[in-house]
Amino acid sequence: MKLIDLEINNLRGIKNITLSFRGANAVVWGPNASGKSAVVDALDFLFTGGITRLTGPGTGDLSLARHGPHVDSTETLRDSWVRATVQTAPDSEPITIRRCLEDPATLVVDPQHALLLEGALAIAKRGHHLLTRRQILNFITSQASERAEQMQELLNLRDIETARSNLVTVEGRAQRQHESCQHVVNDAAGEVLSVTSLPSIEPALLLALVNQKRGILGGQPLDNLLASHLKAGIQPPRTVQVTPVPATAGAAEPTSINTSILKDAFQTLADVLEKREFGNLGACVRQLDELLRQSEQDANLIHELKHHELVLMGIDLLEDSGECPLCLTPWGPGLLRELLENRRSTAERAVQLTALANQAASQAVKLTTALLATVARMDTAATVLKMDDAHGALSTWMTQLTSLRESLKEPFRDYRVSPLRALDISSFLAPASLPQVLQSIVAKADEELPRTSPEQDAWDFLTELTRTLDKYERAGADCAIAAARYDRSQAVRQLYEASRDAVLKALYDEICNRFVELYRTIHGEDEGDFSAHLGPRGAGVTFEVSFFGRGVHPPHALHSEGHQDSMGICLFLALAERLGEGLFDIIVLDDVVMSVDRHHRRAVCNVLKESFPDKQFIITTHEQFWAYELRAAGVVAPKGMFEFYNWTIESGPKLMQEATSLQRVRDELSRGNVDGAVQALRKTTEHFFALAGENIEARVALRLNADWDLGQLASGTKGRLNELLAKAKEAANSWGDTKTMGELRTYADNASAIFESSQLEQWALNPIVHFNNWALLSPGDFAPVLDSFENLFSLFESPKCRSLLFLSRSNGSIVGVRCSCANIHWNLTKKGE
Amino acid sequence: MTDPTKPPTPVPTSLFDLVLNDLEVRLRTHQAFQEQVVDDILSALRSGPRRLTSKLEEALELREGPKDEAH
Repeated sequence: MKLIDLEINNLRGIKNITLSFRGANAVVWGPNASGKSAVVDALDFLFTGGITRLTGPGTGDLSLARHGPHVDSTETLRDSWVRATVQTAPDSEPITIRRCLEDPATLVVDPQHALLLEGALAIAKRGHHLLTRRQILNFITSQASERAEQMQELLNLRDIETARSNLVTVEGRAQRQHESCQHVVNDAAGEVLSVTSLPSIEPALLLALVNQKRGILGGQPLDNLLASHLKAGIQPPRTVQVTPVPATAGAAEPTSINTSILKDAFQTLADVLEKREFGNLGACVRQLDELLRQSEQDANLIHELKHHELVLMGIDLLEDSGECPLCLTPWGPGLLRELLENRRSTAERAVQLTALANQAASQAVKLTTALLATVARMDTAATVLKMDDAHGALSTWMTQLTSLRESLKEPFRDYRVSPLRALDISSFLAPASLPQVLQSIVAKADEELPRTSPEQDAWDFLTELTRTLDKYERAGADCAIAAARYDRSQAVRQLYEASRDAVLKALYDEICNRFVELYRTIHGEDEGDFSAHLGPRGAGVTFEVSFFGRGVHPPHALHSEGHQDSMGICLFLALAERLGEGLFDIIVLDDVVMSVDRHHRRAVCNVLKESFPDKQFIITTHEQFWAYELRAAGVVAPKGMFEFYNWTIESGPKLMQEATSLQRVRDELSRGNVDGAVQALRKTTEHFFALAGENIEARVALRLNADWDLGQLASGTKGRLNELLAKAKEAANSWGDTKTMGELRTYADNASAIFESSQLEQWALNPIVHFNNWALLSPGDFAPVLDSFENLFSLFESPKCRSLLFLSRSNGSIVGVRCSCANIHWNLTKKGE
Repeated sequence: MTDPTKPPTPVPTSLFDLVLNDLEVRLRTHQAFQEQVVDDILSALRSGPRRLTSKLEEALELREGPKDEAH
C-alpha cells in the first residue's frame, strides 16, 4: 500500500495542508517547530487510530481527544481529521480513507475497498510504519526484555504467546487433577490395608491371603488379584450371623459387624497403642520431620528449588563473554558459571530432599488412612453397642488422625507449618485411656453380638476386601488416565515450545542476516567484518554485535551514537521488510539520522534506494542538508521535497514543494523582495554546489572549518565537470564511439555557454550575493540572474530523474559519471585500461 | 484496474501459522497422540483465543465437551 496524497485538517500543529506524495518517497523538512512532526502524527493517527507520541511512559496526562486537535480548534472533534488517497498496487484504483478524532477507532472507507486494506492496516497497527528516535533507543539501548516487547509487538508474536500461556494453564490443571487422583489412590490403598492388616499392598501377599480365605470356603486359588474375582466360584456360608449397622450409626460402610474382624481390628490397635507405631507410620512422619528440618536449616534450599529450571536454562545460555544472559550484566570470566553451578548443586539437593519428603508423606498418608479405617471399625461397633463414651473417645482420635492425614497430603505447604507438627507422632498413635476403651468395646461385643464361624469370617473378609479393592482399582484406573492426560498436556506444551523456538530462531536468523548486510552496506569501509547475533534468550531478545574484532558486545556498549543510529535504522528496516508482508510499503522515518555523519548518510541513502526500491519512505528532518542529500542521492525526487517554514500557531506551516528551492527565490522576487530572493538564492546555491561538488568529487582548497567560499565551491565543481567531460570524450574516442562523442561534445558546448552566460565568477556570485549590491537591483534586473542559475544547476542533474550526477566506481576506482536512472551515463575508462 | 473485491496479494502465512504447521508435524510423529486428538488440538489452537483453555482441555480429554453449543 502506498500513499498518493495526504490532507490534514485541524490536527496537532496543522490547520490544513495537503501533501501530494504520488506513491513516491518524500522528505518533509524544516526547522524545529515548523510542523513536521504533525505530519508524522497524522499518518500515525490515520493508520492506527492513535498517536504514538501521546502514549507511553511520561504521557499519563496527555490524551488524543484533548491534545490531538489543533490547539486553537474551536470546532468539535469532528473538524479534526486526516484524509488520504492510497493505492494497494501500482495499477489499482485509488482508495480514499479518512479518520476523524471524533471517532478514532473507525477508518472511513468505501465498504467495497475495506477488505483490500484490512491486511495492510493490521500490519500498520503493530507500529510497523513508524521509526522514531525513541524506537531506535528501544531497539539498541534498552534491556533485553523491553527490546523483546518492542520486537514481539512488531513481529505480532502475541498469538503465539497467548496459545502458549493457554497450554501452560491446561498443563497446570492436568497436573493438579493427577495429584488429586494420587491422593484418592492413597486413601483407597489405606482402606485396603485396614482390611488386610498388611503393612503395604504387596500383590503376592494379598493374593495369598485371599486364597487362604477362599480355601476356607472351598474355593479354588486365584492367579490374579482382581476385586471382581475375589468371590468367584464360592458361595456364602449356609448359616450367616450378621449384626447389621443401623443407618444412624453414621457409617455407610461396612454395613455389618463381624466380631472376629472386630477382634482383629482390636488386636491391630492394641499393638499400635503398645508399640506406639503402625506399620512404619511413625518412622515416616519422623523422617519427614527431619527432612523438613533440613530444608529449614538451609534457607536457600527451597528457594533454589523454585529457581531450578531457571538456573538450568541460565547455564545452557551462558556464553564465553560470561555476561548474564537475562539482564546482560557483565561478569568476570567464569564467575557467573561458578555461581550458577553452585546454585544448581543446591537445587539438586533440594530436588532430592523434596522427593524423599514426598515419598515419606505419601506412605504416611496411606498408613494413616488404614489406621483411620481400623479405628472407624471399632467406632462403628461402639455406636451399635450404644457406648457413647467410647464413641466420643474414638471420634476425637479420628479427628486428630484426619487432620494429620490432610496436612501430610501437602507436606511443604501444609504439614510444614501445621501446629500438629509440634506434637510427637507417638501422641497420635497412643492417646491416653484408649486401651481401656478398646478393651471395653471388645468385651461388650463378646457379650452382646453373635459369634461367627470361620467360614463367615472368611466370607466377610472377602466382602470387605472386594469393596475396598474395587475402590482402589477404580482410583488407580482414574489416576492412570489422569497421568496420561498430564503427560499428553505436558508433551503438547513442550512440542509447541520446540516449534515456536524453531520458527523464531529461523526468523531471527533471517532478520539478523539482513541487518548485518544492510549495516555493512553503510559501514562497510570500516566494519567489513561486522557480525551480529539476534535471538530469543529466556523471556527477552538478545542483540549483540561485534566491535572491530574485539569481541561481541551489546550494541550500545562501545559503538558511537552514529553507529547506534545506523544499527537502529538497519534493524528496523530488516524487521519491516520481513513484516510488511508485501501489503504495507509506507515507512515513516522521523528524524532518525541525527547522529549519523555526512559520509555515512550517503550510504544510508543508498540503502534506502537500492535495498528497498518498493518501499515508500516518508522522511522528516530538521536538517536542510539531509533533505538535499536525499534528493541528491536520488532517494527523493524533486517533487517529493516538502519544505515547511514560517510556522505560526494560527496558520500552521507554510509549504514549499520544489526541487532546488529556486521556486522560493522566485516567490520572494514576485513579492518584490530582492533582499529575500538573494538570501534564498545564496543559501540554495551554497547547498547545491556543496552536494553537486561532493557527488563528482570537486577539488576545493582545504578549510578545516569547512567554511568554503561559494565562489570556490562553484568554480571547483565547474572545473571538475569540465575535467570529467574531457575524460569521457577521451574514453569514447578510444572506443570509437562517435555517437557518444557527439553527445558529449554537445553537452560540453552547452556547459560552456551556460558558464559564460551566468558570468559566474565575474558578478553573479560574489558581487551580488556576497557584497550586498543587490540593494541597487530591481526584481526585473535580478530575474535573468535567477534564470542563469537555474540553467547552471541543470548541468549537474539528470533531465529525466532530476537526481544529481555522481561518480560510479568499480573495485574502488572511478569508472563513470551517471545519474540515478542511468539516463546519463558517461564511461571514463579508455580502451585498454 | 484490479478487482476491488479481491485482495491484491494473498496474505502470507503468519508466524503463528508457521508454528502450528511445525507443531502438527511433531504431534503426528509422536506416539502419545492419536490422529483425532491431534486434529482436535490443532483445531482448538487455530480457532483463536476465545475459550481456548476449555477447547484445549476438551481436545486433551481433560473435560467433557459442551453437550449443546447452542445453549
